[in-house]
Amino acid sequence: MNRPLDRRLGWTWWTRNGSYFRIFLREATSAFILAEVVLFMLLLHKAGQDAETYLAYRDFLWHPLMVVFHLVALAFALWHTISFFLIAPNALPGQVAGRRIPAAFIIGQQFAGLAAVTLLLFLWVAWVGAT
Amino acid sequence: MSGRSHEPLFWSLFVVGSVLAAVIVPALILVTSVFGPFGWRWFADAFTHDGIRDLLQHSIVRLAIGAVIALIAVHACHRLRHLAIDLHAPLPAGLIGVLAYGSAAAVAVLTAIFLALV
Repeated sequence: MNRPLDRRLGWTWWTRNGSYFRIFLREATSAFILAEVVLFMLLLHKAGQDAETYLAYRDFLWHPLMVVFHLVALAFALWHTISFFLIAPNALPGQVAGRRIPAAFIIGQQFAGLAAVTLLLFLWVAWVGAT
Repeated sequence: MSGRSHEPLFWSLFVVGSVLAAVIVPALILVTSVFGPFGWRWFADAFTHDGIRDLLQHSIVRLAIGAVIALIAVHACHRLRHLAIDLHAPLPAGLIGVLAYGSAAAVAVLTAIFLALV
């Protein structure tokens, strides 16, 4: 069961201090992630329709104001990624065969995974676009 | 409240969704919505009407996209649910849960339908 925060804190707890605010922003990143997922879902929807309808939606998605939104969403998404990677050493058991795994190793591995997945996705889409 | 809760089920989906959101969402935003409008020709060409149909041509790709989108949606809605409760949204906790997981389910089902129709 979810444990609500102490009611005495009120709903403005996230304005109290910097670390509360960072937690609030970190949680708020999920709103941007959901928004981008829904926009992508609609792109898939339009892909199943005729070219004109699809391009009208794509041009909306690529409108300069929407690109500004995408860049803001990207910043929030990256914040989610980075903060998620940085807390992983605290969440994992941290020991293999009685030895401590260095936190830097765990964090480094995750960024390597991120780079690999991102690169593969870029190469795949660029290859389809170029051929 | 009864002793049983659906929380563990949603939580395990949430963990997988967290990893996918962390690893895939930045690249997804860049590829679908940033590189094209910035005039990178390969990426612009990948999102013409024929281009996106080529991207989605294989059923393995559509299955993967459907699963990834569903899990990321569950992840985001789970967190928004907790955020809404922590912000003392003036709604019953049960209703917030139904809204949150209902939205996630709607995104998952609609994505599957749209992918099947491409």
